[in-house]
Amino acid sequence: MNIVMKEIRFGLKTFLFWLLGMSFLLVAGMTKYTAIEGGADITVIFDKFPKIILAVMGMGGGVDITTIGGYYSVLMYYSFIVVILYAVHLGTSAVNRELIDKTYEFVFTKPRTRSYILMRKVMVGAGYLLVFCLMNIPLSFLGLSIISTRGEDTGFVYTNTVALFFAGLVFFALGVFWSAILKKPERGATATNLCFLVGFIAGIIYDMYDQASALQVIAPLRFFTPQDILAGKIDPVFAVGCLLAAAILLFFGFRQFERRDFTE
Amino acid sequence: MNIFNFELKRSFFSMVGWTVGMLACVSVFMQGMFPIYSDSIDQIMIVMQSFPKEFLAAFGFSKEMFSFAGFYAFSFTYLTLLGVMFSCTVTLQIFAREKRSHSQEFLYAKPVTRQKMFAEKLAAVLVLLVVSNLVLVGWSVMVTIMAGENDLVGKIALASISVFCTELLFMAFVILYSVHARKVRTISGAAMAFAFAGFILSALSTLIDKVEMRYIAPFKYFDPFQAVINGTYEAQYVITAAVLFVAVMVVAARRYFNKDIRL
Repeated sequence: MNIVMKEIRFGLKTFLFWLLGMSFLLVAGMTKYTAIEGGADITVIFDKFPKIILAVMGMGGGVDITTIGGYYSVLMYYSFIVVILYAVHLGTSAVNRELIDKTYEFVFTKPRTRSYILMRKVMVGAGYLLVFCLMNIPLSFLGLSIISTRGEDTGFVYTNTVALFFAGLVFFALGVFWSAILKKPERGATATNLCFLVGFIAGIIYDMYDQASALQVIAPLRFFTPQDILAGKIDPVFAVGCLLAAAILLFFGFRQFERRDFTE
Repeated sequence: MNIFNFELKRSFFSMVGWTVGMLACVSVFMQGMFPIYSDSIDQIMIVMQSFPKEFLAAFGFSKEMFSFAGFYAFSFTYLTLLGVMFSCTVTLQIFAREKRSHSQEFLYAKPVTRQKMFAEKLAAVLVLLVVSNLVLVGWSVMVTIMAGENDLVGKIALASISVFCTELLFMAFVILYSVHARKVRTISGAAMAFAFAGFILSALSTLIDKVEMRYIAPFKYFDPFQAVINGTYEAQYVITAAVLFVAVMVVAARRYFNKDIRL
């Protein structure tokens, strides 16, 4: 329990800091929404316009941003970024914080195996990630309460929270994996952030071309499309895929961590 | 000059890597995507005529958006993101180096004043940023000429400078961060956080579309869209950026000159 308590205390300040950012995004972002009444049916645009033009117009997700759900999904795109960046931080620092601070000699001489210690650290990290994603629910409803919701269905908030956690979990595991297998402690963070950058760019290209649909597999921001989330659906293929990827990455990360030599 | 030379050498390849990335970004957007984009514009023009004008305005349709210049300005959201990551990375590498490698006493024991250290480190960052941006502006101009938009060259060059200005602003933020932070564990994590914070703030300011919001979005101080369409930046934001830059640098420098070493 000592390790768990210590890790929780260590991560608290960072957690609050990220939470502050998330709150600002969700609450400030909601202040503007005004429904565009009447007029032509916007969905016509999605059938007739090529994806690239929609992307330039800021409707790359293919949802109607004049509806409350569509507007929310624009904010969601950014909250995915926040969650994933936080997840990368949690995953990498679970493994290499002590290596960077050079306190590993202290913690790994305790009468516990490496896996035992790392397991506690990873569990605390995953716990923080889960709580962070769950905080999305009250924050979203706070944001939504600013604008009058006229009884629209807001169930998408829950679906979205689940999607956030799945996407975050993959990058959390990726952070653990890279940090565990790369020799220099800081390289793990660099590699994971690079993975996210590549995924981010893949998502932009995915938004622009019909031919690029295969890129969805590596684009974390598009694992769960806004249309699905608004319809209350979580794509089971991607959900299982995320869990599986996270499990595999963690397994190999742990195995490598058990064997590795800490001296630089 | 020792510190300057040392820092320049250490971060040189990092600069090369990021610059190549940014050049690739310009090419992908302007040479890869723009032709497809402009082809699809003809298709939608017919559809657009059937919509009422107010409706189109609500979605920010404008003629400029469909031009080479408009698309260039659009690509800047991402180019600035990369540029800011680059600027944050090298600034952190250079200003937080001793903090990260626990060698602050080593540096401060040298017979060099802190003012000189600060100046040399700052000069190293500036040289890296300037070199990278000269290449970037040159590349942008070349791409513009290759696309046959010769009369746009001046405006495109002006717009390209916006990346440099935003990079300078973030350099100041990061220096402030690195002199105040107790520990800088990972450079990439901090650089990503800074860059995406700016990215999200600029997206929020577009979304909310209020004047006050633009003041808190540093990516928007130098709006490339204004530069390519009107050939100028908006004075009030340029002044904001300049004031912010000077204020942050003064606070950071004072701290650097006077701080105690924490081990």
